[in-house]
Amino acid sequence: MAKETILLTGATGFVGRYLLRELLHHSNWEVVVFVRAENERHAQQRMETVFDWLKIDCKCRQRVEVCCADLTNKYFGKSEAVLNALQRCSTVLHAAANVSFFHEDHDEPARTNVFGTKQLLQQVGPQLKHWVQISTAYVAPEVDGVGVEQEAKQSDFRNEYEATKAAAEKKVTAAALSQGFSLCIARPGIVVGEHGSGRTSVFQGFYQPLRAVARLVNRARKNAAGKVHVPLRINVSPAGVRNLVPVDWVARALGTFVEQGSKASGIFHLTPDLPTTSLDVFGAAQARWQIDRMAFEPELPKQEMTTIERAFYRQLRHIAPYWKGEPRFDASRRQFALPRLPCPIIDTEVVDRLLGYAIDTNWGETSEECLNASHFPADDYLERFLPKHAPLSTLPRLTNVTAEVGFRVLDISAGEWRCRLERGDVVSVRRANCDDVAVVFESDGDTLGAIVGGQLTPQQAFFDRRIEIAGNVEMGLKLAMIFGQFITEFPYIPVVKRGQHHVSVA
Amino acid sequence: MSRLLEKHWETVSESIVIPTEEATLAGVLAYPQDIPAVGRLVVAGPHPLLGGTMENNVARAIAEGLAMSGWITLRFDYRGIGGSDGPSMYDSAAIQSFWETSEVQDEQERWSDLRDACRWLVDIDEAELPLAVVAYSFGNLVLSQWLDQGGKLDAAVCIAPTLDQHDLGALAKSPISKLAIAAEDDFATCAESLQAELPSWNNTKVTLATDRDGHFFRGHETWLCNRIEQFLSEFTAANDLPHTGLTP
Repeated sequence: MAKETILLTGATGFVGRYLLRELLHHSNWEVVVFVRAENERHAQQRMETVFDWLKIDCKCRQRVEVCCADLTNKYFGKSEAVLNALQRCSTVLHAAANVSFFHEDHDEPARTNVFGTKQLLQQVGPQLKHWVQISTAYVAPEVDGVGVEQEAKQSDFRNEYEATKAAAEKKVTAAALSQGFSLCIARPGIVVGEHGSGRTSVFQGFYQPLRAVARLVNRARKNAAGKVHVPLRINVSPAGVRNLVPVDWVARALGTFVEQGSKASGIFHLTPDLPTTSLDVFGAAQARWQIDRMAFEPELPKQEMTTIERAFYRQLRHIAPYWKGEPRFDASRRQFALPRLPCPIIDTEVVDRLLGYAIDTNWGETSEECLNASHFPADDYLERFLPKHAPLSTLPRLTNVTAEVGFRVLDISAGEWRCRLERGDVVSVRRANCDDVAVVFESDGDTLGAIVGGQLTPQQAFFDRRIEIAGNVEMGLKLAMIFGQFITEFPYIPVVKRGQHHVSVA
Repeated sequence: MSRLLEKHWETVSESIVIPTEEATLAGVLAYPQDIPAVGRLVVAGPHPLLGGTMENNVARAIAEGLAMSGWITLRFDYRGIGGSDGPSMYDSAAIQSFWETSEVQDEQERWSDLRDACRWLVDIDEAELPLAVVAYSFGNLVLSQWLDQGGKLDAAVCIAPTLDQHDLGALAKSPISKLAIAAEDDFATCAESLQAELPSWNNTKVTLATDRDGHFFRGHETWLCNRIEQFLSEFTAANDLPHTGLTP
């Protein structure tokens, strides 16, 4: 078979890297990858990291041509190397995406998902025969409550991600008609780690509630029977559908669509034939951590939630549109096109493997990353630095400011502190439960570190949703303003040495 | 899907300064690059002591988003905040006052900042284009006071109007075409006030939202832009407006 060239975008991403492995191990393609980087050398370095992660051998690596290219750059397509690559590719496998659910700086996710797709469509050459677009099942129109393999029609999507993926589908469909190439739109469900090993390179989406449970487990005590009591009621139905699909199966299916070329035209759902349930997911968590009881209360009113439960659900706010329930998807067209490739079932046993890999790798955080990014010494700041410097600041002049404020740090620096202000003086800071405090600031240690270091204002962190205010929001915003003033006077700069924190003051 | 996504990256943004009698205001002007502008729009942001700079998520998203839809937009910092001159609002007396009353001494004067920003925007171009103001949170008070002082504009969008905290009477009575967008779980204004008062506002379309992050609309900025763009499109289509000019 003559060697043809395929362009793969998003090869450094989660699904993209598995697609690369699929193309290299199960086909004959010469592969061009576009990598966002400062220069060609940096692009090559990024791909070497991916090759290593995938355990790709040297021979296969030689079949990959790495191009430094950013689809969202307005100068995309102006370089000779990129143009040359684009003119040679007979197939495009477009996996590049921004998976943010909400609007972010630089107009993401629209910038990557819509504008990037548009730019790529404008630059491909007339030799292009086939385009495989990776979208998401959640843009599917629903018929009688079932998502169908038809063109996205609705206008009110759950979030920016869905809206931009639907817009990209529309653009690529129009281009296929006008430019005369065949089009396969593949819509996966929620992509998780490998079916057999649980291996993954990202820990978002499906992993977030499990990680939040893990935090509660870490703080809980065992009872006499050796079971852990987690004071959490799961506010979903145990039978609720979770459309989990393993990444290696998704890659295999997409690789097959690439091989089928124009025969695989149309829209295909890469969704489970038998969906996972919430009971499968939390049942696996219960068994792994020996939790005494996992209570499902689908109708749990918000006002009856405990502080711990409210904090738990706040951590899941990004996936809230999917939390309460997901639609079922029809995948008849995909089942017909890939009769020998049914979707593997993700049951409690497989969820346990996914969970095991996540725990073994500390949810993807290496020790170096922990030190540099997440291990903010919240205790040193709140218990030592703040009481020491507060009397020297503007705070004591705020004689009418009396309040108690809580700080809840949610990640590896986890803990809760209560800080009491009386007539502007910080009279006490102690590590204690914040359940009954009127205002609680919640964030990860990284964000709190950036705020107290003066790199980020509390208000900006709040607008960027990196910090949440639980309780009295108005008082919280005022305290954030006061706290921000204190930080401008006394920023905190921890110096990390061999895992220990030494503090210097600017 | 909004037109916003269809018109990506066709805008230009420039940092500008607005000279006024009291201070020099910092702002960002954004406008469409390749298509004729359909109107002018100024964003009046939230309270300066509650993070109300022109980098606020709502102020920024609206200014950038509406520019993509053909509007010349201006967001700016009130005096004493961010890049604008003027006495700092962060002295201890202001903070003390704000802590107790949620007000600072001269905040009633911010309407002149909005007036000056609008005047600057109108002066940069001779085209007869309509002028709209998008007011967010405290910005509604600023807009209301400017209207009370005789300010003239063609349309207004009132996001999260602070009905329980400020007197927005002039805004409510104004005959200009308005869109009010509020969340029923807004911490600053209770749902009862929104439901009771907004429908009685003069010449006002009302959108009451749920599950849009209450007062803050974090993560729902594009949804906001889409609603505003739709309102302004209908407004410009329905009115063959002569430019009304600015006073005082």
